[in-house]
Amino acid sequence: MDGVAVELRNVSKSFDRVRVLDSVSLVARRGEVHVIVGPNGVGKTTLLKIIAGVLRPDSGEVIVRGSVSLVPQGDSLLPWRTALRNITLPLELSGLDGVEAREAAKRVAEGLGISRYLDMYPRELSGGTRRKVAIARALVTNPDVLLLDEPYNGLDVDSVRSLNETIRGLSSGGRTIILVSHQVAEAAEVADSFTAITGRPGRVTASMDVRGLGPEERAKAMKAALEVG
Amino acid sequence: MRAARAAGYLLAAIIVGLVWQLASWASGNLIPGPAPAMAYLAGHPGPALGAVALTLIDAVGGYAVAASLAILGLAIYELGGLGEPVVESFREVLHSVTPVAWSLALLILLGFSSRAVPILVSGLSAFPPLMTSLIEGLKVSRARFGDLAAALRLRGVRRMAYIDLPASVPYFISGSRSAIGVALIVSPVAEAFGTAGGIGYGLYLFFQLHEYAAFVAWSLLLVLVMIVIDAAALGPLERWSRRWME
Repeated sequence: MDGVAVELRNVSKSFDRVRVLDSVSLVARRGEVHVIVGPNGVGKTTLLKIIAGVLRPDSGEVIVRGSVSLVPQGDSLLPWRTALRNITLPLELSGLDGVEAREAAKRVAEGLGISRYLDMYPRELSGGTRRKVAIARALVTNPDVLLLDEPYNGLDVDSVRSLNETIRGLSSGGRTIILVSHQVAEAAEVADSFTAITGRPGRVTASMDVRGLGPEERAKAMKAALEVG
Repeated sequence: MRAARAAGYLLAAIIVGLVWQLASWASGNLIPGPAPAMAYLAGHPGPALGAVALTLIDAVGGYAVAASLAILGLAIYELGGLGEPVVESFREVLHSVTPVAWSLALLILLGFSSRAVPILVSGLSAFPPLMTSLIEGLKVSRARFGDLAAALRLRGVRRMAYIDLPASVPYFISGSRSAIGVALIVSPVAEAFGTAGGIGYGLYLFFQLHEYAAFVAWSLLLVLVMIVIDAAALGPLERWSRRWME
């Protein structure tokens, strides 16, 4: 399919014989923000890990066009590293020279508006800034697809607004963003399309393009899709 | 906070001193009270300080043995598979052996005047608490940074170098506090059986010679040294290390 960045076809996954995902299919197009919405415990994070290639599905097909980077839940910043050294970590692991890695990290940080926090440790940063540092760490390798796991957890209203501006900016630059969240109102602010997953094991109850709708209508569509399950 | 801690030490010292004095009176002064013990220490500071220095060397050497074993154990534990149960079992076995058994076995093996005996005995006894703490740190690291490690495709030695070892630093320091305490307590036991000196050897000798004032004085000195090391170095280091993971 033209313009498709990520496609899942009938993906199922079990852990210790307990089925977590049941025949999940979804499509995320290039440059869009695709929200996977659903209550806690329906396998959303598992789905994101499958897209990231961290987990293998038991059955089904996963098609990812381009490189992927995952921002885990709770940001996972390493507390003994400064923000800058957290961002450079993936580059260090790929063997890039220190100066080049720092320059690349600084460019990404500037794009996200967090340059002034680079010498600080995670404990010195607000929740929203920590989340942006984690996103910068994922972006520093310049992935085609960015995966965000529950990015709004623990953030206040201002931080959510700022984070959504960042997400919107990244997608308008042509990057595909797949965002997993149980927080409908927050995710509806940036969603171009969504897939609702409910039940145990998690099944898709609706997939919808909501580009033409306003934030409140998007949120209503998401809630309606969740209530079906 | 510091004032509260100082007040706590003062209160503990008063209570211990009172109990000690009561025990002395109850034994008809057979157990020397605080005053004669202090007088002995003031009159014979040289040998006591020399013995303390020797015991400290034994304890620090023992801690080095324990730390080396624990880091090796962590690397084996990190391998997963059989590595985890092997390290856990090894720790359990060492945890269950009395220092007296270690002392006697090593004295027979290495000789009664060997300086290695108290070092090895304190090392083998200090290893279990240090290993326990490191395993706890590794479990916390896996739970907290497991997703990140998976997302960055970090495995094996690279995962250990970039995530698990740095995440274990506060647990290593916390475990070291316990391990050094154990090493200081255990090394005099091994010294008491041998003839190579140290506080333990002195205590045994004074007991045999019925020099109870000296016996109590040296015991008191060892306790004071342990408190000073803990309060001045290990405690503050542990408190600092907690910030590492915030």
